[in-house]
Formats: sequence, C-alpha cells, structure tokens
Amino acid sequence: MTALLVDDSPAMRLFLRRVLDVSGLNIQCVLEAGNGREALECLHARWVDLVLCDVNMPEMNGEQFLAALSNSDSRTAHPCVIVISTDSTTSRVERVLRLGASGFLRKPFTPEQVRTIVNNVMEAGNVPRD
Amino acid sequence: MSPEINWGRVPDSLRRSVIDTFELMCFCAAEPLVESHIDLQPALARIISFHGDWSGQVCLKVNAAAARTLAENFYGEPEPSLPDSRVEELLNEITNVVCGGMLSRMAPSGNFWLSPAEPLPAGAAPAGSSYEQAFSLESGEVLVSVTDAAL
Repeated sequence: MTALLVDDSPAMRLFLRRVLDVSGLNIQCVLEAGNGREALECLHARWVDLVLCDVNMPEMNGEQFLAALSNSDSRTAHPCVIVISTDSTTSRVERVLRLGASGFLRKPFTPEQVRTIVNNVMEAGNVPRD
Repeated sequence: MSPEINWGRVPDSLRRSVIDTFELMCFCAAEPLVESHIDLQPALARIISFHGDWSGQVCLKVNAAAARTLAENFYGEPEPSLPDSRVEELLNEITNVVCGGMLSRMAPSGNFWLSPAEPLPAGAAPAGSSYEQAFSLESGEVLVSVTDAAL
C-alpha cells in the first residue's frame, strides 16, 4: 500500500511516519505533501491508496483539497482520504465527510487508532492492503 | 462568547486536552499542579488565536530544557542532535493540538478556526489572561493559559 501524508508541519509528517511504522499496517511506500495543492500534484503523478490529510494548511487546505479531488478527472488517483485534525467538532467532521473524506481522526492519536481507521476505510473501499 | 459555550468548562477541557496531547505525542505524563506561579526560565512560549463561536488565545510556556526532552520523545531522536528549529516546530504543533482539543471538548458542536501558532516574545503575556493551569512533566514544567477575546 502507498500512503500520502499531507500536513504543512514537517514535525507532524515525521510523527505520522513513526506512528505508521509501529501501527502494524502493511505500507510499503510513504509520500509527503505540505498542502492540498502538492497532494493533488502527487495524485496526478502516481498511484496512492491512502491519504492522511490535515485541515489547516496554507495555499490549499484540507477541505479545499477534498473538493478539488472530487472534481478531478479519471487521470488523478482517487484514494481513500482520512482527515486528521485537532478540530473534532461535529460540524467539522460532517463537513469533511460530506466533501468526500472516508474517515476522520482526531489529533492526538494512538497507533492503534490509526490502524483501526485505516483498516476500516480500506475495507469499506475494497482496496487491497498489500 | 456564544451562549452555548460555558466558560466554566475551560478548566476541565484544557486539562484533558493537555494530558492527552503530552501523553500521545510526547509519551510523557502531564500532572496538573495546584500552584500556577512556577519558574519556567529560560522559557519557550507559543501563542495561538482561535475564532468562531468563541474567540480568544491559548498560550503555552515550557522550560527550554523540558522542551528539548519533549522533542526527543516526539521525534525519537537523541536530544543533542535536534536543532532548535525542530524543537520550535514541535511547540507549534503541541500548542495547536492543545487548543483544538480544548475547543472540541468545550463545544463539540461549535464552529472554530485556528490561526498558526506563533512565538510569544520573552517576557510578553497575552492581555487579560482569564485562566491558567500549570503542569508538571518528568523533565520540567509547562504553563498553559486561555484568554477570552471579549474580556
């Protein structure tokens, strides 16, 4: 499985890599993007199975990324997107799910929580995890 | 402040957010202290503004030495090799997570947006701090304050 980490904080991307390492998920390749625009460029260029995406980012935030992804053509990979945010208010969660996110995870999180939500959304999307 | 947001919920929401954040991001216990007038010098401080149903600021101050230990835990790298910039990046992220966690607990159906966390110059303090809570960490202490923009 190939995962794309989208967060403007290099610290958070590094932490997510560590969490994925110990989560027990079978992820062979981890890519990174600093905002939604970079994430879209990445999805134009290569296949990605899973996106873990922050909300508050410069240039293109997580909600704008979800909207752009849902409007993109078939040349762009359309992976499962899990939104990760400190803001877990119901309005935020409902908004990102309406925009096409497959799941929502609140910061801070445990490796077990990451594993559970990734397995759930990948199974729901019938995407092989190997 | 929106009527559905109760200022009285700040202490518990903040405490739970801080404890969760330090435990899950930096793998260390944050114990609330009764005394909030603690000596943090030399301190590193970050401030973040939030807007929406309620507007205000959250400020986080931590001993410089404790901040480096937190960074070591967070990055999984030995502390001497970590440049100051990565310690500062971590403090930005911690402040962001503490603030978002507090607001989500206070008003689960609220609408908020957060500005990026910024350094708070040495000696400066957010005007009109309304609530502050100190915590003890294994490697030092941290002080978190919440300011209501309306006060």
